[in-house]
Amino acid sequence: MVFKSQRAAGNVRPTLTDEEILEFCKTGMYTLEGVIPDSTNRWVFEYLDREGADPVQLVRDDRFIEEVLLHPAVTGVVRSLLGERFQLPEVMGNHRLAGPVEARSWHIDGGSNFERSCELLQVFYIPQTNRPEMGPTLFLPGSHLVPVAREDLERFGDLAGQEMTAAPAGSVFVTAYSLWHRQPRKIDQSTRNLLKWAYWRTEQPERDWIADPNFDFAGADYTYTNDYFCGAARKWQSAPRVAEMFYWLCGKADEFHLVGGAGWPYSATNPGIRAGTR
Amino acid sequence: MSPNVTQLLEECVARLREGCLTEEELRELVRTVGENGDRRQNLLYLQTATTSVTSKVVGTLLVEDGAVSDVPFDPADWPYQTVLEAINAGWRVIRFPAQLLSGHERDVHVICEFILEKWE
Repeated sequence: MVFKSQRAAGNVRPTLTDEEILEFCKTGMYTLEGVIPDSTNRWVFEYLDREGADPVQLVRDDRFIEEVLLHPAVTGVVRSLLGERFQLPEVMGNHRLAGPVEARSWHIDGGSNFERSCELLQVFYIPQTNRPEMGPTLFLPGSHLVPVAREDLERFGDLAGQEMTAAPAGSVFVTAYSLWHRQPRKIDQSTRNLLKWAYWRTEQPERDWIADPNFDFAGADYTYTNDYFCGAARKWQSAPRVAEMFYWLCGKADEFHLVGGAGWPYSATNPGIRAGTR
Repeated sequence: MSPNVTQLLEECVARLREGCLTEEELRELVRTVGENGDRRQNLLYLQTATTSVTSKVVGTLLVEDGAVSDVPFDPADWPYQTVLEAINAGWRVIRFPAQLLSGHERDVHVICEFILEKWE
């Protein structure tokens, strides 16, 4: 029998503001630290520790759906980014590591397209506290909009600006699908579980999160830099990418126009708008 | 072949022509060749913000003693903060990022990367 995944009911409240949505467009990640309660983390961990445990069964488990997939802190973020009736996952993976394990290469998951839109979100959940020696996933903020060949990424080692998901049990990391990520070397003897799934958009994007009527689209700062994406050229490249994604999420993709030079989105000046209406 | 081995070999040839090559000299040559054969190439991949050798290093991968080595998580603790620092520590650049296509299009991610080697 084919499993039919659920869609969220239309009563999930968004929790992100314009500024937080824009920040997600810049970094491609949003961290919810320790939001899933310990009681849930415990039974999930115990389930995954059983011989032959199949993480896919969790997406069909009412308790897991209610306590994790539809946890208000998680769905508030997901609903903000994917709209009201987002689709719950059909499958789930568990990156389970037992004992010491060598590092994996930086990579992007299959199907990554670095798109300036948000049709799905990739979510990581750790049901146990992750310490640095347990090989917690590394993300490179801002990389979700930076096209790169997987073959190029594989020779990279440590990158400035990388962020480690060392965090307390019950933490959830919501990411843009194309975000570069990697498992660093795991040096301890513990067994680590990392559940990973995707939520999907089912509706056209619109600005229906916690929107501020006074948000300044023209003057907002769309640039993003970090220790890896540093310097003037990277900053220059980031602004149109981030602005395009933000406008798409707002349902304003048709209003996104670049005129070049130092015009919008680098500054509030956009003489091209006037030129286009002549 | 390293200059040391080449030099020793030339010296042996000269001594042979002079008719005074000794077994000890030949054994020294064999020993030197053997030592050179045990040397390994270490590699250092440095991704940088720009193509300048003084540009800030933003990514590091070290291949040392026949294995990929970890560098510290914090970039401030990395062995080299610029390519020039690595050169001054004896690393030899074997690939420059200038070989890459250059462009500032917003869809292109230009990877500025130096690859350096050291034989030990």
